[in-house]
Amino acid sequence: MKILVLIKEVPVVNDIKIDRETLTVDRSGAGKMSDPAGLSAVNCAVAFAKAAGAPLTAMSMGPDSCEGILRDAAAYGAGELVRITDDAYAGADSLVTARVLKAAIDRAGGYDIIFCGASSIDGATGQIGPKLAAMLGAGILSHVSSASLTEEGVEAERKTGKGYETLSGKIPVVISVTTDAGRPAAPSLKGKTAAKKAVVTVLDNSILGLSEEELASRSKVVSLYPPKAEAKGAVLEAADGAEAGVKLVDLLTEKHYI
Amino acid sequence: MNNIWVIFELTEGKPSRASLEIMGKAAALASEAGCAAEAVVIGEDTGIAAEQAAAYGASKVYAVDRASVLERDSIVVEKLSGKYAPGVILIGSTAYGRDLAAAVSARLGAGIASECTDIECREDGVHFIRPSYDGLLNTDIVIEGEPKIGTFRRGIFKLGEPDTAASAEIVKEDPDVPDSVMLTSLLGFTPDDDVAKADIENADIIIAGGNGMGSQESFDRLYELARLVGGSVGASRIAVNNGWISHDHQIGITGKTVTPKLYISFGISGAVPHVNGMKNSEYIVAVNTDPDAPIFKVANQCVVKDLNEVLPAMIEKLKEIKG
Ligand SMILES: Cc1cc2nc3c(=O)[nH]c(=O)nc-3n(C[C@H](O)[C@H](O)[C@H](O)COP(=O)(O)OP(=O)(O)OC[C@H]3O[C@@H](n4cnc5c(N)ncnc54)[C@H](O)[C@@H]3O)c2cc1C
Repeated sequence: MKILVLIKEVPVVNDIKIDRETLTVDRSGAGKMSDPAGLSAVNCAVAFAKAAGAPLTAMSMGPDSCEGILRDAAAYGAGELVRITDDAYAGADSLVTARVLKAAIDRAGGYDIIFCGASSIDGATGQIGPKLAAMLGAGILSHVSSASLTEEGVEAERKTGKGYETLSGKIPVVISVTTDAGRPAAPSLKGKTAAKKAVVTVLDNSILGLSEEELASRSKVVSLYPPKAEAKGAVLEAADGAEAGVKLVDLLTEKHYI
Repeated sequence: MNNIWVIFELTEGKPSRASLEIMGKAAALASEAGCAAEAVVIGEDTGIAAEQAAAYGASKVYAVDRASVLERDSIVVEKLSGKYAPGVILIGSTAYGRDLAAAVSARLGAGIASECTDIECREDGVHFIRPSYDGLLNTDIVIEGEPKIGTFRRGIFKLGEPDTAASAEIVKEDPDVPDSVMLTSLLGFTPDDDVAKADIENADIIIAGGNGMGSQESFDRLYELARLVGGSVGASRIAVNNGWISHDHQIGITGKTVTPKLYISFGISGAVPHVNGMKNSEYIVAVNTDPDAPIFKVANQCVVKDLNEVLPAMIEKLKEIKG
């Protein structure tokens, strides 16, 4: 069995400066971190690799800086690290990103179980897991809060409505994980040493060979503009907060809301 | 423009609220753009959903009478799309809808704008709107080629009045898809009290608290008010970050989108990422000491007072009424 975890580097959202007057966005000062849901995916992937005695690969698409989060994954237990990068991949939408990841997965001869974050804090599109699954002809268990190996394949839990759904999937399967799945425990000394020594394999388009057409993003951002403000409602007149509270209860009762 | 499709999601034959909200929006867009709004309904029993699709503006319903299963449904939509060539495919952003939209996009190589807050037909075509950068800016997205896929959460569009006299042409479809494509299955469902309490997406009354609550102790008083009015407790991101309540209760673009009949907020400033998750509530009350707080721009009833006075007075008064 071979296990893969996909991780992503994201900007520290609070570091992004937005000028409220000119509505310009400055990301230059923003620090980088591992996407939280991706960290939870690492947590699950490490547990699976241990349980199955299987090798674990961590893969990330991004610039040089994302070797940091790959090394972190090695410290947690990933044995093989792959970084995917090419100028031609810059600005890729979710469709193109999934195609590139698929090419890298195919090149490695496929994986039995692929973990990824359910939805990243920057893009928050939740697309990569289910897209990859469709492209690979694998099953998808998405937005799960926990997962485990079974005799037949995998079982996972997903929060919905008033409880948890229990889902099962045959292998190969893609599992997208929410932050409910927790973070990996702090790395051991052995892990930290492994992380330092780990080699990151870099794949670019000369190796993955996607065509210009496959790399053309179909969705384009044409503009950024400020949302319009909406109209104000009625102001509740009262001498003080206590009177306002009483009046509010009367008003809501009258309107049959409570 | 080619027709606008809405892919319905059914639970025991009944369409999801998001499906109906989006159907209404699709019908309005179609009449602007001079095309048709059509529904795709997949389920063991499609009768009720087809009727409701018509009531919310579908002129035609493609009905596939087979149990809805994600992997198979994505191939069904792929095949129907190949046959009828819709211009736009709109899907509710639920656990099922998100995955379906992603799979259809991957299969068709079709561009997608997910978790949008609006869609517009302009002279140069369809534009999808998403919030970005703390909601201070909207992103305007166009998609090349057809179909263009968009996903919208429940509550993004207001549910209009159904036209029960309307009817749609029903086209029965049964594309050939082998059962072998079904790779996952639902084994069961376990109810959970904590998850149920956080099921604010289905709540009729929400009492929401923000950073202005000031402390855990003060935040916890919201539960008493919620209990007295039969509501659920929601929160802003800062209240969640303060550790006062779990993320499952967060309302906004990185939390849940809610559409209760009554939404009462205490000490929430009303930043756009939050407002995007609650602005389609039927009646909004905001309690905030700052008269310029942006929450008042969406509130039906503005209470510019200290929540530390308002909240206890409400609780007292309600206890009196309920005896
Ligand atoms: C990418 C991104 C995604 C985000 N997603 C979300 C999201 O999903 N949901 C969300 O909520 N936020 C989200 N945010 C954060 C959002 O921008 C705001 O920071 C947040 O909503 C503010 O929370 P708040 O209103 O509770 O706190 P504050 O902005 O601190 O407001 C507190 C309010 O309480 C009032 N107040 C204080 N004391 C009292 C009192 N005694 N009585 C009455 N009023 C009082 C103050 O006047 C103030 O208006 C997101 C931000 C980013 C960058």
